Amino acid sequence: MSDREIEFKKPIRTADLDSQFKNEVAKTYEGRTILSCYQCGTCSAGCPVLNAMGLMPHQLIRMVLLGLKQEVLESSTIWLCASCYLCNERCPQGVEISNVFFALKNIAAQQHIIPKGLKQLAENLLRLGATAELTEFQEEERQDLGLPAVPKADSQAIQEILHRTGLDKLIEKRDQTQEEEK
Amino acid sequence: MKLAYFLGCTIPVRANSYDAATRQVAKILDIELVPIEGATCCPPVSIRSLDFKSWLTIAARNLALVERMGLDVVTLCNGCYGTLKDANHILRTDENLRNEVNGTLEKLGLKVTGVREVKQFTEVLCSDYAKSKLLEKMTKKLNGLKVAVHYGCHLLRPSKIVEFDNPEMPRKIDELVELTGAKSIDYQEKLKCCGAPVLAVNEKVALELTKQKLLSAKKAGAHCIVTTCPFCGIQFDLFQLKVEELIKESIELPMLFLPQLIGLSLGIEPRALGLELHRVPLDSIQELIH
Repeated sequence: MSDREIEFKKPIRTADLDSQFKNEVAKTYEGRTILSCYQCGTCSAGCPVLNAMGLMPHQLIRMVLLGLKQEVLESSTIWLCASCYLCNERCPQGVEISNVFFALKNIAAQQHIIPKGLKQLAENLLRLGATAELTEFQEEERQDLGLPAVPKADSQAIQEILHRTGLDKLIEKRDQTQEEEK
Repeated sequence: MKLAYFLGCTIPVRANSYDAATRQVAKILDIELVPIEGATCCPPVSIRSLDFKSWLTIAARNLALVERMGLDVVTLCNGCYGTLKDANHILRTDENLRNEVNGTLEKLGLKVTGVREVKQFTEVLCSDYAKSKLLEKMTKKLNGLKVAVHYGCHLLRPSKIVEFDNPEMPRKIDELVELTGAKSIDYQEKLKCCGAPVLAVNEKVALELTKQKLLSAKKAGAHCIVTTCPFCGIQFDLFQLKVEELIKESIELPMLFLPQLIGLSLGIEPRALGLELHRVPLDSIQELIH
């Protein structure tokens, strides 16, 4: 055995835990299955983005159950989830992990923690009723292929919906947006 | 057959070849694709990540437009499919959410019930009718062509909602590919994500996933990769060039959308299928498809 420097992990202080966090997640439609997790790690074993994640999916779930609220919400890992649903498919406890991650990201977004790329998509949606803008170039491309013009998206309807849900206000705040990770 | 045609945002902007090939194949199958006036973005999982209710309500509005047309809806994009299928399931099964969403839709003169079916075009191709008609019209056999099939996550999962195929060992697209005479080969990363969903958050991670898929297919001896999702398709075609730059070696694995492969076997000209628009040229498989 080598004499490597031992680094002690920081202990979790029970006084710092938010015991209500798990209930906050479990009462949402997306997060409703979280309490069944028994930490087998099957979700992490199949996760395609595991190698890029700072914390593994099952660790994040455990952190929610413990009440490490801010650590979870400020973790960049939740945004790396590809929403591929492989973990949902394989969880022996029926925990819908991808959906729990949606719930966590929703709560983070309420705190204005939103990656730049996603904010851009939401801004496009609000402005165009679509996430990407059709240019003259693509319209010509469609004509060349004999394709009909694309029906115009009803952006006004989107604006009304997002105004009612409050997403329009959420993406307005520019200053606190989480910077894109390099 | 008449179906409401949900085109989505990505296809007209980045994958018109998929739309072109689909319409060609649909014509041969006597399927009428009816545009949905006023439809918006589906919206994707990235919006679901920000706010569930926004995601659900916008999807519900699109479904309400389709219900008003009195038709089932078909998508080409696995992303749109995943959203509309899941939202439809939620609206059917959760009365509280359905009522809440209808409270908003009422202001827009719409109402959703979840009564219509959401299909992906691949499901339409899998019907006995479509298969026998295709087989009858397939004049060109693509013998010798080895295809790596990529299903795309949202066509398979969550399987209890999607119910398309066995999520761990799917065969339906492989069977369609083999109708053309081509051979579907197995490869290590067959069921893995293409990387596209992470693109807006972290390009490096997205490209790593794309690299793993492409190299795995190539290593297994594939001549091309076939998919049914525009996001996956863009990832394998346009972003293949970026992966090549990154690893400093050429991959040259052409990507075809499933209706393009089927179209070739039906004897449709590559140009009419939009194949000339792809960034990775088809030179390496030219002899096998002509």
